[in-house]
Amino acid sequence: MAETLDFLLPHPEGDTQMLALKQLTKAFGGVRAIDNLTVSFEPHRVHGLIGPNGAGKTTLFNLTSGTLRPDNGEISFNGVPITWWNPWNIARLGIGRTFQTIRIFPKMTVLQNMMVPYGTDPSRSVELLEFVGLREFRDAPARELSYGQQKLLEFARALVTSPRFVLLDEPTAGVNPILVEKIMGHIRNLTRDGKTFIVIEHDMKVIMNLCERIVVLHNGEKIADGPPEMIKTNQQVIDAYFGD
Amino acid sequence: MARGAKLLTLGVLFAGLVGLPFFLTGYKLRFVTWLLMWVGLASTWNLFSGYTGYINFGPVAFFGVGAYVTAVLMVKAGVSFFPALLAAGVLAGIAALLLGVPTLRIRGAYFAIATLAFSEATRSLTLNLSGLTEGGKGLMLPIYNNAYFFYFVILGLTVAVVATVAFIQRTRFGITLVSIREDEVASQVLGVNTFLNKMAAFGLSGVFLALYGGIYAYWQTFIEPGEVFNVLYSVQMLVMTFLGGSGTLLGPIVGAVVLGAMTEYLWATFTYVYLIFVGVLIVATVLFLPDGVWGYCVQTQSRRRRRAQPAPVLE
Ligand SMILES: Nc1ncnc2c1ncn2[C@@H]1O[C@H](COP(=O)(O)OP(=O)(O)OP(=O)(O)O)[C@@H](O)[C@H]1O
Ligand SMILES: [Mg+2]
Repeated sequence: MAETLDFLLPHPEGDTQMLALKQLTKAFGGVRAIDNLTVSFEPHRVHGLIGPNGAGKTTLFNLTSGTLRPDNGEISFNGVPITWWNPWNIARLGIGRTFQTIRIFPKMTVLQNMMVPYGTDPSRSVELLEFVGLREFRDAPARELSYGQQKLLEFARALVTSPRFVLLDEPTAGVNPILVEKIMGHIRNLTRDGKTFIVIEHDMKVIMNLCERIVVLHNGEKIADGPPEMIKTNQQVIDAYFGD
Repeated sequence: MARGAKLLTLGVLFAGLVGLPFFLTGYKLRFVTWLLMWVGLASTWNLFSGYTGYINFGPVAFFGVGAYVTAVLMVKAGVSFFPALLAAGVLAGIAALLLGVPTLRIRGAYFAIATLAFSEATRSLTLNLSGLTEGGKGLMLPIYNNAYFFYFVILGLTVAVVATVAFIQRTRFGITLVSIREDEVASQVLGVNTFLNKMAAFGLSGVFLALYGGIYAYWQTFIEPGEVFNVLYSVQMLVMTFLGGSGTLLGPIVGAVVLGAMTEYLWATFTYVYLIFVGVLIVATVLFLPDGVWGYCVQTQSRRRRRAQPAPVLE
């Protein structure tokens, strides 16, 4: 009970940081994909992460999940420095993610895909497959699913171990609108149960609807951070999207 | 197939394999023993490379190390066969782990090249450690002239290898290995310690390869570096596996039997044609049967089975 009601308690600034990036930099050749970025994310929230193409959103996810190493800076999760941790140890700490370009296991069946995560739960697998409407495809090779279905499989697979902190990279791309509504509802429910999300999304309707707080990246830097109403009217954000 | 039918088939097959040597003599018995060894070698190669997708181009290194450790211990230290073989297995397992630490971080062609280089290096080392190995002159082992003994030892080991692969396939370890082949990064962010899993499979394959090498040395009674470190042996394990279907239990067995039987015929009649033949076979398999003979059968069957199911009802 204490855990589920936790979100109602006020979180004084400072010790509310669940994921904290400090002066993080990552360059590819001459391109600074992430440029001296300091930003933190608090628990029990749905955070939106937006910005024009090439802003550094996916790179931020890659650094956080350990699949890329930063050139500089620090990442900590609940106070634990995880900057140089292996991806699997970061995952076991409770950080899950999906990929922008789908990364399912194509030759495995749908159900086998759900069995890969460390600490997977068979009954939850079936439940989640049911939820995203893939139950009847459980024995089909994952590569035979449509693009949208593969996206849904990846979403389900990322949640099967009940990670506390989930990074979703454009989860609704290619998914039909009714299912998008359903997924958004699910994300809200899970947040109420104590989970935390960062969602990268180009669909502003989804973002404004779903997120309590939005972080805007541009050229690897944070140009705005706040509730949706504030972001909508922020001149810097409008400039970033429509060019100066 | 139903479980009962499966068990019955296995039982009949096993009884047949146990009784077989008593109906064969000399040359034919030697051929069947050789074939069983190759079924095991291909299955061992598949155990690591077929499931993880890391192409080991130097498995013969462990085969050769197994052969030489067994031979040296028997000849120079007077150790008897089975303890020597055990030592060979343990040593090769350690060697595989040591090789795995640097090489299992690199993927694709680089891993293949690194393992190939390793097998060539072990061959040179064996040639140069002539105080221990007699170098290029080769080593003569104590003669044990009992064809049944070698048949049954190899049969036992091959059954053990195939059973191990079958077991792994049913465990989480098996799923993990396949996930590494399909998408290693995705596997890692799902909490899979891919490094540890690769090491375990690589070490295990090193042990099995060395056991075959040790038995082979004792069986042949004479070994030299050029033979037990022959790169063609590595290629043959790979071709057999891909021909039958890598990443499946029965693929390497089918591949080893098919290629083994053809080799036997070609090798005896036109030795030179053999290499060309293997080359053509590789190309043909890659082009027309990317999943191998057995892999192709499995896929068509599962597709048919799924089509036979009632159509899913839409919500
Ligand atoms: N692995 C890589 N190698 C080289 N450059 C990269 C790599 N990954 C990202 N970049 C570059 O870094 C910058 C940021 O890329 P990133 O993928 O993080 O953007 P994004 O905000 O996710 O964009 P989008 O909305 O288009 O997905 C881009 O200029 C991109 O070209
Ligand atoms: Mg992106």
